[in-house]
Amino acid sequence: MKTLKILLYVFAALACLPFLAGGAKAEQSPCAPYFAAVEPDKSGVAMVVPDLLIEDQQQATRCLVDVLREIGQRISSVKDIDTPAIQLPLLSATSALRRLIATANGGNELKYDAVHLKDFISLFREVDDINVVSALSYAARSGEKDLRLNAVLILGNIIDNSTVCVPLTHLNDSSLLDTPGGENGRANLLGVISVVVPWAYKENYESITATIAALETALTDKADTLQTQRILNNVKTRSLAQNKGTATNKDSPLWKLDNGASVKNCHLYVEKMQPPISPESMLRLKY
Amino acid sequence: MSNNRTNDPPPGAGEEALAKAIDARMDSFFATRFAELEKKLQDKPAAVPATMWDRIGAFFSSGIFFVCLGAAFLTIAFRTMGGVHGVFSFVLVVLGVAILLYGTGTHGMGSLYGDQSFAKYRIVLAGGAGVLAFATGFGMAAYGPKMRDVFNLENKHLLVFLMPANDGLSGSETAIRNYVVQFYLDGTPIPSLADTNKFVGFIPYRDRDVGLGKKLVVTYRLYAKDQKLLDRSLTPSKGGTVEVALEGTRFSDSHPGVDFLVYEPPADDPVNSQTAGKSAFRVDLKSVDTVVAVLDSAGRRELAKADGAAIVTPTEDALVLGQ
Repeated sequence: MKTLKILLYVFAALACLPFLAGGAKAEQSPCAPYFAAVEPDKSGVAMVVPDLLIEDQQQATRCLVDVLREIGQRISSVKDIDTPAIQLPLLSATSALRRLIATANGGNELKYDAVHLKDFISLFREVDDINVVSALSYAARSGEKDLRLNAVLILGNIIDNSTVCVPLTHLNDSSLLDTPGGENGRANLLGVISVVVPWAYKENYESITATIAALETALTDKADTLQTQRILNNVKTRSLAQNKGTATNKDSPLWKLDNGASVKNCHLYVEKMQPPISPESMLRLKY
Repeated sequence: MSNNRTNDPPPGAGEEALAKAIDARMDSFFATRFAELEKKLQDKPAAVPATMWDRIGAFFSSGIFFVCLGAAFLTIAFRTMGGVHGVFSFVLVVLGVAILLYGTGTHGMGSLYGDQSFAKYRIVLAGGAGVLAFATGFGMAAYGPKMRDVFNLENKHLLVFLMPANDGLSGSETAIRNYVVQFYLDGTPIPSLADTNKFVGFIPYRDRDVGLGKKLVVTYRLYAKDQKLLDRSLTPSKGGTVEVALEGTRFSDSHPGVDFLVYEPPADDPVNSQTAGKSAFRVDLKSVDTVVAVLDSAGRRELAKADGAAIVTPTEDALVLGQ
């Protein structure tokens, strides 16, 4: 009798399995297909996110930002960025976002701040965080040219006061030039902070001016870095926009932006950076 | 018996006399026969065709006709060699040689007069034809592949695959679907098609050119069928050049469902840097213009001002270059 009961329980459990599986499937994250789509194939090739997944641009933006966030959390040091496990999914995800930006920007026909591009940027900023910008900053200094360009296309448009501390931290990384794409990465990251500098809040503004002062010294008389020097001068010129004698963003502390969340996140990011930021560079980062 | 013996001439002189007698009788016999034969030949009307039709018929059965016909076959084979399939050339050459031999070696003999020396010549000629036939047969068996190559002068086709770059963007579904392709060899369009995941060029070549270090410069041009349907991040048109080395080691027949050999670019080919061993050149289809436009947008971006802060107007756009 006891054996019969056990058998009945086993049969009942087996009968419930399909329903349990179905329930789990129904609860699957809407972004799961995006995570699957960026996984590289067995031959180590970056996959293209299917057209179907980027038809709904809002859903695609939210999910691809999720993908970037997850990748950003997996990067523990600069060495990780050029490993296939990080680089290939990052290339797929940033390429898909590049398609969304290009479409939103109107391609070659409509230039400069098409309404759709502003919508895309607003949505991106709404769902991004420091891990997302971290993944993009690592990508901007990677050894893969396509990945660097994708990252700059995105970062240049979505960077703001809450996240600019990330590219600034990378610019103060003493190992920046030791990586394959280091020189290009430095120019890319400088271009990104140049977007923010006329509207940089206090901590950001001070960190930017301290960083460009250090870079200026390092770049003096180096003929092979003319492009970087050009961008550096551009950052300096744009920073002067906040020195007109009136109150500007640089007079406003960063905690006012979001009740201290950005300052806290930036502080943690600088502290956790691997390899660790040198004490000298740490002084330039005011978080 | 004994009488006969007594009547026999004496030994020595007798044998000589007998021989002379036999010679005399044979001479008489042959003289008579030759006289009869000559008389018959003289009495026989000349073998001249009586009518025009007979003459035409005689010509078409003459040796000279078959010689001309064989030569005509050989001429056609020579003229068409390279432009037609090798089997056709082979058949023409074999037919031409066979008919030529028939005309010179067999039929032509029958229409000529001759004596004993002529008969000897006829045997020699017929033997020559046999030796030629034997030599041809042996050659076909022993050197079949090389003979095939001798006649195999027509253009073959080698497939060149062009695939979108592995950059996570160029290979999108819209890319392949919306492009048409045209390959060119020395500026001349060659057969080209867009497959489900690649663009294919049919490169003409000849077997005799393989392994001599020759390189073909193949250019290609991709056009978007309808720019409005094309992803904004992709370029409306793209051109490029690939180099095809005519080396047998680069020809691959390991592509299921493909009847042609496929060219495998070297791993260090600059166009192929992303795809070692993938039997395809790669093409970057990303739009440079779009990149410039989006980076310009980034350079002009304005951020929100803080509470109480004045409006700021930078004198320069941000220099976001992307490199």
